[in-house]
Amino acid sequence: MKIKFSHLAFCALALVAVLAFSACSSDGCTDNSSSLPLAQFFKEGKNVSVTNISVRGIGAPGDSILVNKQTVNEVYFPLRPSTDFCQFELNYNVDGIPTDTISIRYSSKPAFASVDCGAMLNFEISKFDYTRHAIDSVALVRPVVTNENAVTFRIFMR
Amino acid sequence: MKIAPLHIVLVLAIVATTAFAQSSSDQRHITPVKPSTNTVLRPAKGTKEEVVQRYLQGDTAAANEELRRDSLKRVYPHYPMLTQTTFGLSFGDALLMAFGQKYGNFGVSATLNMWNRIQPEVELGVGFANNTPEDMNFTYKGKLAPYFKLGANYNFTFKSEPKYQVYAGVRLGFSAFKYDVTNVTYTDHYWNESQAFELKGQSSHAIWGEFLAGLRVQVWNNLSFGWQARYRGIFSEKKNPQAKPWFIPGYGDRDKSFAFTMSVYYTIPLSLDKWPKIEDPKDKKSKTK
Repeated sequence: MKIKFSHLAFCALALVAVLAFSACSSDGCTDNSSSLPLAQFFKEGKNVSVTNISVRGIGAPGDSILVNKQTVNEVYFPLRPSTDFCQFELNYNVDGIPTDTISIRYSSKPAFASVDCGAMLNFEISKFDYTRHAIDSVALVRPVVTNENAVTFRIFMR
Repeated sequence: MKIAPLHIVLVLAIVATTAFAQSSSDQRHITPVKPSTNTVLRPAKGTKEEVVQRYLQGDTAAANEELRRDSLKRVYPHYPMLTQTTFGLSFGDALLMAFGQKYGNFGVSATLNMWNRIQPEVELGVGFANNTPEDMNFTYKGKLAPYFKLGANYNFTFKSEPKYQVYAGVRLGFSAFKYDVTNVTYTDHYWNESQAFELKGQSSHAIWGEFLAGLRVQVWNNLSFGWQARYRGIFSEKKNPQAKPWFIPGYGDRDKSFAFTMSVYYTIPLSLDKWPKIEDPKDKKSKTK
């Protein structure tokens, strides 16, 4: 069998294609690698930043803080995997304004999002409650919490 | 004879006028308009002699009309409706798996080459996946499942012999499949808690479309090799919000739009008696000698 130029060209192109396609990779995880409820702060209908706020989960190991005296317009509330109830404390670090507490009741469900984002627990919020010191009201926008970058709560401030 | 000065002036005037006229006529030749010539623009080589004669005799319109039809007949060899049938075995994913791909699709194809141009094709095969990505918390297992594809190619090299082909095509694919996501360890770093779970017995099905471009080269007798680059998109699928499928048999990684396939083919010629007789240039040379 003679080796022709067309055969060589064919093999070269095939090799280039194999290398090119094997080197292809995806864009990575464009969402979150966990399902986290996102809460945004609102005042008079507009998304606002709250200054010098501290947020922590009640009962978190080592009193770990989610937000420590920062100015934020949104905050994630990571739900505890082993239970169906969580409380989060919002401390405004202002004299005369007591700490607010948001309580969330939920159920969890195993889920596989994608190869890049991985497997995780999704949550469905069944009930929630809150104190009204600096908070005027809280609205549940999306009861199902997945790894998508979507707003779960809207916290309306006084 | 005395030459009067008047005569000399007259002669000089005639010479000057002639020279001016000559230079004027030279200028007329430098016109940008292409001058008509007596050159006969002969029809393309290989045109029937009677058509050539008709053209030379002045009946150019009719000759040109016939020439066009004659040229079409002459330009390339015509193959019969059933030119050949080809059976293929795809093995490209074996190579890609050697380069680290975590899934494989292996299939057979049957192609009917019609007029050496249109090539309806059917593909059947199976696909599977087993992926435990580094730094991730799961193992994805796509169970061995079948896929089907239906479509056609258009051979751009229909003017040449079918043993070398450059073609483009379309496919419509379908697969119903099952998959598991196992060995999951989910860790919440804030609460410092971990949970292990599995998502077994997940199922889905998908319909997708492909545009492809490929090459096929005969390597020995009826045996040929070919490769195809494919651009794909999912038309519809069974939604599974708990575990979105990553691997679709026959399609591969759902997040990748491009794919590459390689195949070996065995071709059976059909209607050989109706194939055009193409003279081997080497034979022609030897006959001339």
